[in-house]
Amino acid sequence: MADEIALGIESLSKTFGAITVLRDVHLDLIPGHIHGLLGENGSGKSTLIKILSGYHEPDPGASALLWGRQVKFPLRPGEARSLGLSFVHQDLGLIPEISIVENLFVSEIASGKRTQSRKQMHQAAYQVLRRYSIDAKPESPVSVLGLGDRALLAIARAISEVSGSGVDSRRVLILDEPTAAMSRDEKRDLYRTFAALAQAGHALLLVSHDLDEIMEVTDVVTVLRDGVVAGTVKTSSATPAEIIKMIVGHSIGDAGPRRKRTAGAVRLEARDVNSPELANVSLAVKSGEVVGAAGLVGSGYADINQALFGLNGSASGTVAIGGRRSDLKEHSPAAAVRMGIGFVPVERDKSGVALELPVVDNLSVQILDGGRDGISSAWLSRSSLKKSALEAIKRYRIKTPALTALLKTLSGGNRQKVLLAKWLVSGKAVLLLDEPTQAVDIGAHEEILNVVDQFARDGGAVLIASSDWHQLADICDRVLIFAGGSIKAELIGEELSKHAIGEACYKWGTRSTHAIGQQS
Amino acid sequence: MSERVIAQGESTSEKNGIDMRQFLQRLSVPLCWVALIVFFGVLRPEAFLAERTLSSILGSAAPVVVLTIATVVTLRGGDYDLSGAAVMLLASNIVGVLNIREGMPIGPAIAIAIAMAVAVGLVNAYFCIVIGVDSFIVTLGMSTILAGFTLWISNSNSYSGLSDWLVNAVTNREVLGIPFSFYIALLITVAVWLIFEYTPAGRRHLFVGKSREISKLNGIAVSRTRTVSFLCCSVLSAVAGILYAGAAGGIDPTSALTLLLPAFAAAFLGSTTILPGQFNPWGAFVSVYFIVTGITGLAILGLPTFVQSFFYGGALVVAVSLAQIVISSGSRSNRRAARHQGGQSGT
Repeated sequence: MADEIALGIESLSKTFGAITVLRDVHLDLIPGHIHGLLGENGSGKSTLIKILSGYHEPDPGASALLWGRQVKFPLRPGEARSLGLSFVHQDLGLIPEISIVENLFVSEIASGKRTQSRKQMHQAAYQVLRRYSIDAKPESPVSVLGLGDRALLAIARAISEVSGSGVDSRRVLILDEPTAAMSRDEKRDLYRTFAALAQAGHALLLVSHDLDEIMEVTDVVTVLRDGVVAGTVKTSSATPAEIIKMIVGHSIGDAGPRRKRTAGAVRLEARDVNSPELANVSLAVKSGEVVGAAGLVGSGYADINQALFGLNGSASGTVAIGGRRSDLKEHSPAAAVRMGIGFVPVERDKSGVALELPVVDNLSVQILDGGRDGISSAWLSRSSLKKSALEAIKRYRIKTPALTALLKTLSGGNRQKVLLAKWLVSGKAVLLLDEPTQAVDIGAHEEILNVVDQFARDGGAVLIASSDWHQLADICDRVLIFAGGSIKAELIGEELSKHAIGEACYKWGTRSTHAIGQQS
Repeated sequence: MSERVIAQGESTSEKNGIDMRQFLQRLSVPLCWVALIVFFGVLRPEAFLAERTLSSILGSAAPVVVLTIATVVTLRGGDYDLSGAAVMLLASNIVGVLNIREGMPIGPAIAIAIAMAVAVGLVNAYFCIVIGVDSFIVTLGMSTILAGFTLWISNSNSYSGLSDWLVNAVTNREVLGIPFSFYIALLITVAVWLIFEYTPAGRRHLFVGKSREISKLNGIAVSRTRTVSFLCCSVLSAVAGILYAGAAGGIDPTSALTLLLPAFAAAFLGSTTILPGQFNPWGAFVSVYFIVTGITGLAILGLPTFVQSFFYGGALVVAVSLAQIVISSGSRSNRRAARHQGGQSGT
């Protein structure tokens, strides 16, 4: 049966320099269907969305059919909208401080092409709120709404954007992870709206990380892997395990840690760590060991390091290094640093390094009271700080024009090396790393992992939280799989591979697979 | 092969370019100051180069130098303290009212003024750090309250006849023909510079000023550092007030308030020189004298007062703009040099 196609994409490729991000992608959205789009980080999902929203231009040769009309790339935003293609992005694009009615009609108001009177707009907003059962007045600011209601409002706006343009009121609606930050109940309301929209003949593309959501909501699912369509299947005829296989691919003999180290005594021990994001997490990292923390978004893997470093005010439990124990209720970054913990945060430029200060200051902030060499006195020896910084620059191959150059003049990879080196020169026993190679070029990526490896070889203990499963498989001795805030599984030695980690993350992070059991 | 040699040659010359530019940038205000002295010296040698003029410039600006250093302390720590000039005003009035009107010995009067400053610093710190209100707002309010308090205790009166001891200590006693107050300001500048550059606490203070978040993640006690910063600013402002009273031999209930903006202007101007990009005491020191020299010179030339205002505001905006231009072109060529170096090590 030849279904009508709302949006048909053929032969879509995208290369950035020498790197191919998307190759020959084919995707058909059908009116009345909710189409899921899945893929791990770096699979090309966001590039595809950015091409559809007109942000990127695809390589020549791509073609797209939108409601039967051939469209030319690059799509201009206004053009896509007028042809019946609308977006709801993760941040929803609402302005919290202004009223619901102004948010709904923001493009009309901003462009000055108001076709309706103030009263009509108010009336229309009132209708929208009624239709989506949002309990608020049109003149209330968006900030009074919960996340779920805000998403509904953003969808309502996307749907009505082209109203009045004629031919057909049906639309293609691209939903880019709209539920990522929502509670279970908020999601449920939203799913009902998705179903109603599909029923009304719209075509929906739901981009998501959440396999449960995809299984529950979609009719068809397309999986992207390494820029290629790994498969498009009817959701009802596929099992979660099959879809996970499509996401992570088949293991191709890259199992086992590539770097052999010898572990010593336990260095870092965390007991019964609880917080809003974590449930009863206990773990131990030995000297000479690099341990990974992995999981899906919201699984708690990204929260453990912050809790152990004293950045989560509502955490409880204990963290201990050697004989020094700290209750997390009274824990603080200052206490963690005193215990011998160094922390590399995700947002390097915002919370890790001082961009407006010279390289030498960034490298010596942890040895002001005397570092490994024990140069402790009331007065600083600027020359010994400089000496230590120069050694670090040489040892960790930091590329900088001068010791006094401001840190902002360095590349991302070199900034990250400064951030790591700062802790290493002070002789910390434990390093907690959050996404240590994010926004770092390939060459520096490898060097940073080498630095981490060397630190462990010298007797340090490392806990890395990362969404880069390949990297975890590359550097770690063990990887802890987080789901629902607690550690569900541990992959060790020969079991370690990017695919095994991915599979475990999805398997434990997806409730529906638990029933199926451990079949893969 | 030959290409490589050329590339290296370029990189060396580029490096020299950066060094020269950095050098000029660091010395921009001091050089302008010297230029200004030469300029007025050539135009009016007999008046401007008189020993009396130079010693008056150096001595009379001392309270402003101290107030500016106080302002630099909080600015460098990432906070605004707009109450500095008001603390200065109140301190001078406490000393004056207690000593002149109430007949209290000068020692206890000074001690009470300092105690007031400690209290103001703690209250500022409490509202900014514990309650979390923006320091701009807290210290603006505090400034107004202190100005009112000054009018209250002085009955809006001026008093003269301050203790000879203080007047002698500040103005009459001269070393090498320069009033003693200059040396006090110099001493404070040296002390603050040593603390900033050569103590762990001073370096941490710099980090706190650049980013509280980053400081926290480095285990730095951010709240304590900021509290000390507010305290130092208040106490130094009070010292400025005491010098101010001593220099005038009496007090008045408003004039010190007008020094608020000049102190900020000099602090910002100073952040473009000596250690560009950082609020630093020597930059502030030189900036105050640059501005005072300019104003004194213009007065000697007989130009009307409004020209002095033009000079004041113009110097600030022009100097800071020039510094901004130099900094952005400097960081561009730094990046170029870094890329270059990266390329070389790759080959």
